[in-house]
Amino acid sequence: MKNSPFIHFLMLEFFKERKKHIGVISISLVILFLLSSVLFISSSIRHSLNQTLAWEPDFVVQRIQGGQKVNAPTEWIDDLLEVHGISKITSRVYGRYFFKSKEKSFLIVGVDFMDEQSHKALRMMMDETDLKEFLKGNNMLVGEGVSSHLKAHFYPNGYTFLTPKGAFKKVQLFKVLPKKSNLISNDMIIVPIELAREILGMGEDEVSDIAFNVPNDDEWENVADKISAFYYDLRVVTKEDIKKAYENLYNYKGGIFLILFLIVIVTFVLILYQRYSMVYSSERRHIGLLRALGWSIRDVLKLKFFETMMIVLIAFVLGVALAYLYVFVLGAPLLAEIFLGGANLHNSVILVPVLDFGILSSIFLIYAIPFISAVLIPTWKIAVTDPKEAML
Amino acid sequence: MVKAFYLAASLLFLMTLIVGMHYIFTDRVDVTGKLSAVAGLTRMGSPSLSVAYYEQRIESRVQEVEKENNIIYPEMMPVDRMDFVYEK
Repeated sequence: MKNSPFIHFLMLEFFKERKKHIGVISISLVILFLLSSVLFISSSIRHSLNQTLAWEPDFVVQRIQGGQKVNAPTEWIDDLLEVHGISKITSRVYGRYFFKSKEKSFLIVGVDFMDEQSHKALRMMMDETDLKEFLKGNNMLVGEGVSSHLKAHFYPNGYTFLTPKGAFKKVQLFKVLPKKSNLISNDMIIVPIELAREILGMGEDEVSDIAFNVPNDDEWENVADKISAFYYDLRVVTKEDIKKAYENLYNYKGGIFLILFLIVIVTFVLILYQRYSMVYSSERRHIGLLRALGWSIRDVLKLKFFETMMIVLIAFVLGVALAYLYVFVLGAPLLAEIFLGGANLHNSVILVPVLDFGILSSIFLIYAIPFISAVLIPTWKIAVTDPKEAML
Repeated sequence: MVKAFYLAASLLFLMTLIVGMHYIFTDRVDVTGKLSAVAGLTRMGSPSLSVAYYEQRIESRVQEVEKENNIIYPEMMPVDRMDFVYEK
């Protein structure tokens, strides 16, 4: 292969036309880099969220009034306890606290630390000594975004919340949640459930919603039907609904970029096609010359195919590798905000590397096939004409 | 001239190798472990989207105009609304 005259000629040809090829590679590189970056971000976030789904409850029961979600009464928990096949019933207390002066909001989540699962999860984040200390007073665990926001506004050790009843509640900042959990905890404030009720102005007999599990998957539909029949203002949200919501959210955004990519690639291919099929183009004369020197149509097509494949491969490998480094090493600055938003607290997440080979091969095919066709079709058209005519 | 191609091919191979090494040796367990711990503690795994606070409804069907968060196309509906995930 090393001494093959064809390979040698191909490389000479490629080197001679390097300026032209560098231009084409650069445009392809930008297109592939942007598309791969977007798809990497979306697949990484989706992957991480799917991992956390295992920890989420199978069902959430909410109370709906006038199309709005309102607080549910705690007596619903007693009704749920009577249903056979339900386990891990937990009341969830959460709501947003508006930091009016700066127009930012935090998510306050009340946790029952006496609950076995919560206790176990908390121990994964802090040791036994910390835990005892934490439960002693009015303490809170905050996400990184909340911590930076509070520090920037001169609340380094805690914050005094204004409850809806007009009272002030001072809460000490106990610990900042790990940066690695920023994807879900950036704007979160975790406090004991009673404290959360006080800050959010909820009564003792009220909860935001009720979560529970149904260990037998086959019973999911039955249980959902049974519970829906309890009250007219009750809504059951399943884990599948949440999963679908995530899928829609990120497929939608990835889809927008895919459409843009297709528009750009079609335009690019049209430009290439036109360049090769121009009557007085240098390409035309070059192909005519090769044919006049005795090259067969097959040889000409082979030369152009390998030349284009080299461009495609260089652009693809460079584009995807740079996108990988930009997303998973640098954390996708600017582009990640499209997925995470930028209207509230700034969130910088650690994106777990996920390479979806199905997506990568689709990108390659969507890019390579039109590109190669845009070069080979006009080349073939010129190659079949008389060399004298082609060189005119 | 052929040497230049060997060099280019080696650079591409090196880049692929770096990506491959990073992909294989990145610590995924720690990140997913921390995410799972927070999700397990709060029983809430929705993403912390940085979106504006949608409280102000001026009338039952009219929501106050949301702040422009896209200067290029201000009329575009924000696709990362919080209620999309927190509520059904």
